[in-house]
Amino acid sequence: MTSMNETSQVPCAYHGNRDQAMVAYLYDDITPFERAAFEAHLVTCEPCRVELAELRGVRTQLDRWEAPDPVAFAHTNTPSVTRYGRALQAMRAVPVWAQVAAAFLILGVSAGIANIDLHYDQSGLTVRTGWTKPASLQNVQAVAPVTATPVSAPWRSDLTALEQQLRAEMHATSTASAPAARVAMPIAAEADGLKQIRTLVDQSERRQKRELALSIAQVLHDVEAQRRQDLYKLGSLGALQQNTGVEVIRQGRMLDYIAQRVSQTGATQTKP
Amino acid sequence: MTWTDEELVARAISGDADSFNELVHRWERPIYALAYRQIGREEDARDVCQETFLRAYRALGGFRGQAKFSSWLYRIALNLCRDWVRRERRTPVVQPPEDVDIADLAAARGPSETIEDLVARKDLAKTVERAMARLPEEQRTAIVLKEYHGLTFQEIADIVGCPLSTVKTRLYQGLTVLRRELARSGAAAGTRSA
Repeated sequence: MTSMNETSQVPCAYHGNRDQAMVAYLYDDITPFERAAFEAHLVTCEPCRVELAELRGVRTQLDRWEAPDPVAFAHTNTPSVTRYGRALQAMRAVPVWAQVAAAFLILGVSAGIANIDLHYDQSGLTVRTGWTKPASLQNVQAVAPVTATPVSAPWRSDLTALEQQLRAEMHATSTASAPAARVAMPIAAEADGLKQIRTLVDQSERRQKRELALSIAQVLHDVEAQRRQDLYKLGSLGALQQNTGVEVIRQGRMLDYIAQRVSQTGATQTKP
Repeated sequence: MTWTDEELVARAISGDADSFNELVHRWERPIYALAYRQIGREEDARDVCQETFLRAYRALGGFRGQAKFSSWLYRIALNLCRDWVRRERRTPVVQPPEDVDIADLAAARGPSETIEDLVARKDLAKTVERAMARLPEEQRTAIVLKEYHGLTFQEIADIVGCPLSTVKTRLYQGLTVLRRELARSGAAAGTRSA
């Protein structure tokens, strides 16, 4: 490649990419073959020798740019990294089965808080959630086993109670042998009802999972906010420490100055 | 016994938190220096440094060891620096030399250095910092990784994801611009005294 360098108008006739060879030689990150070729070129090319010397000067100047001493950083931030590292470590140390159990526990508690109310009667299936309607006595009874076994989802007990209620109603209907009742609750309608129940339960489960995900996201957000607040406090402490150090240096210089003046004054007074 | 980075990574993955702390202790200063030279703010450099290690810890399980741990760490830090520059929509900050405190200077003075030499040294450092801040990001990154971290051209190419020849070209172009800028700002005295 032939190029014109900036230090001279004389063209350089280096075979190959002169700029890349120059920088590779400058940093001694070059193959022996390329080094030999470039050194041979330098012998005959004055502009390249000049430019190489100037680039070495630039490297010398670059060496003067030091990054600030991160002493305060080393004492303040490392514990934070360690702390969060340990938190993440603890999270990783929990077995998968325990994490799944915890997820189900949270799901169950969430469903309990949501106050799910499943009711099936002659008017059809009714599902209520929230705090607008107090739980009926029947639902309180249904929730009771959930508190005894908190790991299982509470909607399962509701479903069991509903199933028992349906069976009781079907049994009462069959014992009464009322043809009208048979018309009102045919087998096909029963199957549809159960299908509808499953659909509603699935929807409820999906909603609870979504709420769980939102809760976890909120917790993570809070942790992040706390982390930033801690960092800010640590930064303030570091600045305070630095200011104190500077003040100590100033006081020391002032004391030196006073001592010097006192000694000069004493020497003047002792002279006749 | 001194563990290698890769051995410490393996121990950290298997649950030894102290091994990761050792990695942090070993690499926090280089990563901080890299962040500072890329974005020019001490506070933000500290944040970037800490975030680098947090991300590294989270992704430690995905570190397969194809590259050196340090290269992997440098890549994370550079990505965060790039995000910072884009988010702030500005070039790296250069603090004005007027804010130099004489007490700080006195504390930083070497035993055989006069106060005039010290001021000249600080001024030269500021001049270099200012010139570096004017470089395009890719040229500045190449110079920082080569000049201050001693990486090979191949390592830099792997970190920034470009061909080796491109790294050399960026470095040459950056140094050429710096030479011009430093000569223009009268930093030749520093060259003579060197």
